Amino acid sequence: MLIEVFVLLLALIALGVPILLVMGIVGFAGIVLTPELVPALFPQKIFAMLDNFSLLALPYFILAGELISAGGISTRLVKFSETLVNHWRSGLGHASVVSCMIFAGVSGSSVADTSAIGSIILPAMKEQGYKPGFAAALLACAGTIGAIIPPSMTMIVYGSMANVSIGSLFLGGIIPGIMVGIGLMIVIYIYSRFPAYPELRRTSGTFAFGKVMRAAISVWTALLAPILVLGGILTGAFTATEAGAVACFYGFFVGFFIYRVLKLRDLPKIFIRAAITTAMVSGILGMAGGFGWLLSFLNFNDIALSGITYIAGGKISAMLLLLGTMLLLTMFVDTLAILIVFIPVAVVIGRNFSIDEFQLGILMVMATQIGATTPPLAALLFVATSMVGCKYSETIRYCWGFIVAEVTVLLLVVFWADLASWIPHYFLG
Amino acid sequence: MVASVFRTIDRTVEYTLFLFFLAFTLVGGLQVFNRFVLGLPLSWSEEFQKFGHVWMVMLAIPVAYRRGAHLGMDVLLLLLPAGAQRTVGLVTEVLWLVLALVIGRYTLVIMQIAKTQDSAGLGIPMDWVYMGMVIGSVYIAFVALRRIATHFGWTEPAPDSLASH
Repeated sequence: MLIEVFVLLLALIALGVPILLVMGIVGFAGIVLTPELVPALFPQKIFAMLDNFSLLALPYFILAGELISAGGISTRLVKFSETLVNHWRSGLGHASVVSCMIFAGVSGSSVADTSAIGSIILPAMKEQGYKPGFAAALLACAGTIGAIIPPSMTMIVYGSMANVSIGSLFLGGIIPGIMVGIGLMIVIYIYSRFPAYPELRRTSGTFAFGKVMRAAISVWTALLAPILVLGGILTGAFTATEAGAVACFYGFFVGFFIYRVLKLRDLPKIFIRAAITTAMVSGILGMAGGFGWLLSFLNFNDIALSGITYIAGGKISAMLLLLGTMLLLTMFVDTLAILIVFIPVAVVIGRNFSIDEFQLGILMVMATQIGATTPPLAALLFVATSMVGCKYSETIRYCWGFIVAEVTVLLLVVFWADLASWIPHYFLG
Repeated sequence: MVASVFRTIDRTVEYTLFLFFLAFTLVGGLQVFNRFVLGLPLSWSEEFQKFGHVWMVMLAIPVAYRRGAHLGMDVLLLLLPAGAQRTVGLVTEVLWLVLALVIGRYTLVIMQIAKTQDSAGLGIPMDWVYMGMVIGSVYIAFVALRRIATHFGWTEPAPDSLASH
């Protein structure tokens, strides 16, 4: 039965059927075809998955991102980042990474990061002669930071399915997220040493503290958002879900009272946009309630655990095997679907090998992000390629250096758990 | 005439979705304010948000479906001949209809049991909470039937723009 379930799942996904529908149909078919199960289990498991307080952080952070973005913050953020690093060689490339890192503290998604920052910085990159494929690969990989630096929709998905504190996962993503940013900047620097990239040798302007401060003042609302969210979680003042609700009110306050660009008549559209994005993720999770339960009923998690235990001798090799399998699969299948199937497996492996739950959670999130930038099927590369308007093969040519940087950070987190677990353990125990 | 009725239904559903989302965001803010500022935690706010989330997601799934927003991988599909793509498209709409029917049908079964239970925080009958899944399923089926009809000559009214002014 398990083989039939996976064959049907992969066949429908390959045919372009939406992931939500695939999860729902396969989950229901599996339940109906198992004689000892009743069909009413299916909607009951969907309800149980959606009736989860932790999952509420998802719509709140999506809405907060919409409200804050409506204030035109991304343009100011790019300007601020440029004042910080424009005097460096390939300053514009570095500015795109820094902008993505700061915007990651406002948005919770890598696609939002790539699109928001890319749309602002691309014209300048084209003007400075950046190779289109290079710009697309850089923006796609820099966007992954959006899901690693908190808040993060992927972490909310992981935390609510694996029953791990979302606030702690958020804190755990800070150091790896910054490391990915630094890693990408090192790759840009290495590229700039090659004669074939004269555009990366350019600098624009000099560093001026006054200019930085002026830009920081224009963007203080965006810089304050992550401080408010993380500060609230760090001090234990509120949970991740409550932090999301606070971020919504903050976003409204900033857009309506400070920048005065948010209009009350726009609110229904903003809320509906956020609800649609929520449905795209929470809807898949709801259907995964039935599908995941079926997999667990069919002993998939135990089979996967015994397979990994048979091959892996210890904690590190088990993590490498799990992440390696995920990275391989995400090259061909949607990353969210793979994450949802593998979360219960990761939980049993983590328990069996005594792996720190925050380290494991951050590693799983990072693996999905690397998967989203690894050809042939790489959602983020598709987004960036279509924004730049170049050939996909051109983007693929330049993405490998950045992927090496991301995998290096992933391996550092595998071998050094403290990178992901120190902050949450120190502050939240 | 039919198209304008459909458009009115679509707008009503989307506006209801907005009101749900607005209500549970306000309650989320109220929960933090009451506990953090007044020191008086609310007993019902968490349940209100959870149940509101179920309703909201079940209403937003068909809205996203109608607007073609659900995530899927169409890379391989685009390699197929146009006729095969249309067939896969039609099968997909039929699968949406099947999904709507099974969720709606079997949620009604659960509601029969749930109507005897009240929720702990709000004190409302639990079948009201499950009702959101039935209403969402009915709207999914409605959208699916319209999309199936487009394969046989029906033209769907274009969805309203969601871009801010």
